[in-house]
Amino acid sequence: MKKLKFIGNPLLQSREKINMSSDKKWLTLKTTEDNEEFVVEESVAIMSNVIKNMVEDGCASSVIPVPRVKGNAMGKIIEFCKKHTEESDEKVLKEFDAEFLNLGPDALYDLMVSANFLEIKVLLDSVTTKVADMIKGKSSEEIRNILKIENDLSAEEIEESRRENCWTRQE
Amino acid sequence: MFCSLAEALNDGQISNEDAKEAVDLWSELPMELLELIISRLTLKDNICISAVCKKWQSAAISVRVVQKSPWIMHFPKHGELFEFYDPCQRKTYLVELPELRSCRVCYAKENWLLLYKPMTQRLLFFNPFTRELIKLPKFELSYQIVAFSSAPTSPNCLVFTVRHVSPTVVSISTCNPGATQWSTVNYRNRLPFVSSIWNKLVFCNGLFYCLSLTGWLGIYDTQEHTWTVCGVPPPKCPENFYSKNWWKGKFMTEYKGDILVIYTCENENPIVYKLERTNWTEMNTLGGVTLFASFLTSHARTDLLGVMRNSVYFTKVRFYGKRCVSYSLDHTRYYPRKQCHDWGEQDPFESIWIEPPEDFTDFVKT
Repeated sequence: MKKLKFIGNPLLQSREKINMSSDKKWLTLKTTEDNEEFVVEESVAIMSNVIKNMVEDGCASSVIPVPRVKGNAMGKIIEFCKKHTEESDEKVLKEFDAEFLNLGPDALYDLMVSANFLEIKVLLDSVTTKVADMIKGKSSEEIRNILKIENDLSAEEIEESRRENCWTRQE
Repeated sequence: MFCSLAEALNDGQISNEDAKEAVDLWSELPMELLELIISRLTLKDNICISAVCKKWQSAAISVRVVQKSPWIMHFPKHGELFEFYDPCQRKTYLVELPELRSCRVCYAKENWLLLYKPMTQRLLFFNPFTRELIKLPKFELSYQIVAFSSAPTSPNCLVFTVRHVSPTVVSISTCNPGATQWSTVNYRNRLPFVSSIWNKLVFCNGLFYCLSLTGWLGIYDTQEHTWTVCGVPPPKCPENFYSKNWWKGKFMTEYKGDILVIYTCENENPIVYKLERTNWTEMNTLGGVTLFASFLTSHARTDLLGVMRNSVYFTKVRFYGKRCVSYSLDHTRYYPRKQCHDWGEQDPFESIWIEPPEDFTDFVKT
């Protein structure tokens, strides 16, 4: 049973009603990794440069296959794009982004990589800023623990780094 | 390339728990994204995270932006051999500059010097790194303090000086490169401000700030052509600051629109004040900024490697070029330990901090 995720006016009940609203164009995005479908307004979808190019080049059919992005990441991305298309108040958007990006490092990772792949600059900027904020002021060991990264630096390389680090603290 | 978690789970090979441990998500992050993240960090954090792993170190170094520190330029009493000292690299460069014969230095900003040649009564701009020379129309300067707003090659460069006429009148002269003569106008002055050879000048956001020996500020608006004596009274320094030559030993600069003044006194630690709306606030820290203080010009810099943050660097070099004398606000002490620093007694024209260009390889070859 195919899962159909409909993101649009909650008052509309069926697909027939979508077709009747002639002033808005709709696209269906299908994540090929897990076969989830998302019906989105074109104006929202084209926040992705990749999709925008496809639409402009006329090669966007009724269903656009989206590889490499998983269903739940896609859902979140569409939620983000929808908000940023509807809302123009900077303050409101800022609050929304802060709440929206309140995620763990792994979820942020998915979002970031997907935003990069779909070329959604606004989202990519927001996520990378959030990640930068997360690692700001932390020691390299703390960062390794949070992001589960292995230290592969040689003893000399670590010493070199420590020497440089001196200038940021004291002589 | 990214997240093999889904595949791993689909394979049914690993349990949910193990999968979480096995995945090295962040190590798989594409370089371009890693660089994007790291480019949002300050220099301090950039250096810190370069110790995370090889990939991060490489990314950090590739996006690292390090600012250039100013150099000390020493003016010889005789001859034409000038010494430039880089406090970051602790290197000294000797350069012959015959163009500066019989010139007295007045100000320095953005790789450029403003100098006065008393014999010809000419002010001139000189870039010691490119040897460019720009003359200004004749002007009898005597020992007035004069400054300029920006590099003479920039469109809005303005040269400024203020002279005491009477307690209630100052004479302000301005000129720009390319002009045929100076423009001199008298302005109404208020007494707490007294123009003298102890003036400190700083240009910021279209205004020339002039700190008088009394500690009161006069402000010249280059757009409105007005002279205002700022109502903010001088900061209240500790009692000892008012002994011997209390009006000397002051330095002024600006950082991101804030006016900063350094008060020094022979047997005391320097104090840095920031100009606020109604008063001067004492700064316990500079927020990572380093100040470079010389009588005629001072600079503020951040993101430097090789000099201490939250410090004031003076134009005295000790231990045969190994150490530039500096005062740390963090540790409230001089480096090296104070011998006796009477900055008010330094020869004003013997040295100045000057900003070197990004690329000075040609300069050091000479």
